[in-house]
Amino acid sequence: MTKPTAACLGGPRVSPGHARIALTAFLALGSLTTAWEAETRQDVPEYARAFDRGDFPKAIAFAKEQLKVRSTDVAAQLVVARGEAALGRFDAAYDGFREALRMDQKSPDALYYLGITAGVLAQMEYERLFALAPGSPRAHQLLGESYEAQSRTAEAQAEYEAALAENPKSVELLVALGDLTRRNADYDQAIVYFERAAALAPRSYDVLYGLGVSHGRKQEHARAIEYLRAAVRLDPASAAAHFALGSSLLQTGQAQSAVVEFEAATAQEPQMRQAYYLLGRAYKTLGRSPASEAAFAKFQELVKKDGPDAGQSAIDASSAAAGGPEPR
Amino acid sequence: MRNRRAAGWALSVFGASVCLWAAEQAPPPTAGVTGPVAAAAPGVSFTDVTRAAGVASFRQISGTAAKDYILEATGSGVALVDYDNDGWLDAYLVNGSTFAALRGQDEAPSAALFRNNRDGTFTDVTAVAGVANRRWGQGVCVGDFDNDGWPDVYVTNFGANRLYHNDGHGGFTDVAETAGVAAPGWSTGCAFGDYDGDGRLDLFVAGYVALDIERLPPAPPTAAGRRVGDKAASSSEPVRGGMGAAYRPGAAYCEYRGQPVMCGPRGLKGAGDHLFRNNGDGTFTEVSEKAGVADPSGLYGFGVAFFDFDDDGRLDLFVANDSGPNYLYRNRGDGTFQDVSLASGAALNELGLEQAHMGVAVGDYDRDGRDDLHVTNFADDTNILYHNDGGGLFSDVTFASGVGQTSIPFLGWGTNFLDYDNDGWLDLFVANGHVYPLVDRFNWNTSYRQRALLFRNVKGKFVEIGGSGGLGLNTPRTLRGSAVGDFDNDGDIDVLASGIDDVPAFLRNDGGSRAGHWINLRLVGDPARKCPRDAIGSVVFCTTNGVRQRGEVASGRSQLSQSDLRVHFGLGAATRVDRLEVRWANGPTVAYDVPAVDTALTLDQARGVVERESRGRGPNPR
Repeated sequence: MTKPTAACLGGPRVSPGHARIALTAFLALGSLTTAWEAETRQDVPEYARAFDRGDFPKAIAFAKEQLKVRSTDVAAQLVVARGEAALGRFDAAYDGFREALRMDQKSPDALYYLGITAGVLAQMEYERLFALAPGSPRAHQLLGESYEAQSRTAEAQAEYEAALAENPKSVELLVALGDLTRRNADYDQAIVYFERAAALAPRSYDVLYGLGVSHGRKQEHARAIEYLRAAVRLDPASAAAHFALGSSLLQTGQAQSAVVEFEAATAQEPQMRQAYYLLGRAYKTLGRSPASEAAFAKFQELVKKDGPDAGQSAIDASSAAAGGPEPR
Repeated sequence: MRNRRAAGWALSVFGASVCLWAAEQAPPPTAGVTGPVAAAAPGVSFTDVTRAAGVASFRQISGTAAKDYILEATGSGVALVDYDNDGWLDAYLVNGSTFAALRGQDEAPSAALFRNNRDGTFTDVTAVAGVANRRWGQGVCVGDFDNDGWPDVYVTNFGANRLYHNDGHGGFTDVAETAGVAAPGWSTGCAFGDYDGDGRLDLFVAGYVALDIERLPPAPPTAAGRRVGDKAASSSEPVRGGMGAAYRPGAAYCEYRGQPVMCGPRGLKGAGDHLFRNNGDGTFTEVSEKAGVADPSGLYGFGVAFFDFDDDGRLDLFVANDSGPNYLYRNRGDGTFQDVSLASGAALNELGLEQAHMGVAVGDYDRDGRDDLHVTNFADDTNILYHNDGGGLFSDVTFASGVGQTSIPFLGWGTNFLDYDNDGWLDLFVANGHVYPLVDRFNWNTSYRQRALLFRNVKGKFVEIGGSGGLGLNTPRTLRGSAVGDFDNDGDIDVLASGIDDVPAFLRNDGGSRAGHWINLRLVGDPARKCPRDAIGSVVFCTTNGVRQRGEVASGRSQLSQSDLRVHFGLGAATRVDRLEVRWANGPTVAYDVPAVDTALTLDQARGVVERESRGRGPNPR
């Protein structure tokens, strides 16, 4: 007897092909001007009117003509790229958006569409991977990441394990499993994965950070401090590692050392409100009441500014930027 | 690994196309019956006597089974209270309601008061006692607010609350309106305590959500499919924790792990808290703002506990807030409280993160003389144990103490410290049950109906006893409130918990009284010495073989519930009590000689005596 999984019961059922078609349509949507403008205003470029009519080949041709006249016309370049995307020629579209970005490195439109197109291309490569090697470690890994993105942790773990069975010396997979189980608060299992990874890559930041945070959450702080100090040495810019190290130091009564780490964390990531909270606790332990109150005030200021969920988000952001997963 | 998030959306699209059929999984740990655990006390287990005791005639009703709205999911509390002063604990069970009843289209279900027949059975005396409530009931707490020797009962509701004054003849009268404590809105946890030291019990009531039933947040789509015009509230990652999913106006519904569920509490307006000062003439005055405990931030209050965390002789106040930081208010002794939530460390977990705090247990689990706190939380997170370090500081010792890992898949509500095996160490009970019925459709390592947890305290470290606790504990249910007390007066502590949309769970402790010696103490305070008659707020220290235990007379606590006001100590192998000290509320500490163990005693402050408790002593306690 079997039971259906989430996607079968309630999740959307979109085939990869359909998803690509939808994205193609999405890229083509969003008219450059209004229909009324297109019909009435002579200053609307020809390529824009063609694009809005859905005549993408002509839009591309007109835009290229415009680029011959004015080679830095980002709007025209974007129409070239969007036209290619609308015609399903994603490689050309990708090149086109990259060219637009070369013209204007801060173009929000270029960045936006480039991101979408890159995703479509990635998906196409995923499909090729599954077509060519459906049982390969990479296919399992990809499925695992997909499940993880959907918070389906049991399925994600199974896929990562399947990949690991084929490629048992993959530090990447061991860290993925460590992170996954740690996020699921299974710290014992996370430590098992991270220790296997440590045997293969003893100086990996991801491994040391994962081991440190996992031991820290089990309140095995002496070991946590050892690993997190090593992680901080490898990546002194990691606010997440400084924060986790400070937390373990504080828990073991080393408030003065914890202050140093929390200050380092807030210097790297000024929005990490948990660091201000624990900084306040550390100051309080040291009897430095004014400093403690100032840190709590900053914490509350950030709570009011960012809302209740932002605390984890701030750690997430810092952790991702530093290369490590978020602590729980 | 550093760029894994970058392809997240593409993976989501890709993943949406994946539809696999998974092999049938083993039951999640929340529903499975675990095997015996070596660390459990031998020969002690809990037997479900709900039907045998005659309380299965009560069924809690909380809206519909679909749980489309948050009001349908919080459940109700229970009280173990000796309302007729016969020396035997009676049981009061708060009931919920339905939206149809709220709108006057149906009869609201009744709460139930069961009188203890002193033979293991109970008789429903609700109608005679006049405590049916018939509002959307939430919590209950007990206190003798007029010092007449009879316990009164306060019931919180969605809607006006009740203050049932005990007339001493088996009947109650709701005096909430005239007393000024009706507090309309959505109230949850409550507790009596004499915060101002005048010998009269004051009352604190937590507020949850400012919900308008005429303008409810949207319900999730029905199983038949989405309604026309529905769209996802958010495509972002699901919000972890909270007694529901985050809501924002305009959203078509809210989500948990990508699935549509009821909205809230996040995104819904919170309700303030209330502190009512007892005027001594049968009325109360709301002093919330003046005292500094009004909760202007509108956090979602649940569990409430008056306790003296800094042992300065004044009752402090703890409020467990769902999806937000807890409040810990230190009593300044001048009628006001200082908010020490953040500075104390009892507001957040050790990483500074908010949790979905529900119920609260207070007890000195490590016998260091100070009260510690255990707070229950949402699934995918741990319950949290705050150790009282002294000096006004608490530490999160959840994992180090052993209560963390096991609790993660469980969604905890009621929680109580109790010495179930009378070994002199406080054990820990947790009532569990999820809020989303749909969790049973997914392989999320959790379930809607969940077994209870009982952690045995082994010299300061907790071990979950699993299957050793007996079927009474291991049957999966949808529990909410919980209370503990020795209802059969056999010398060990029993458990009563409320089920949502279900009968209660009345769990009789079998074997606890044989596992260790014990004493059970009823305290009678002297209002002339500024101690409330029922001695709420008094602290008892019991020393045997060089070990000093702490207990106290407490109102409220757990999740929306009231435990026995008597103080019970397990003594282990000790056959005598070396020293018994009572720090009477607002008074001095007095030492008493204990004539014997394995017995129930009454300590009377005014008369200065210790007496064997008289079972069936009749209606008048004095």
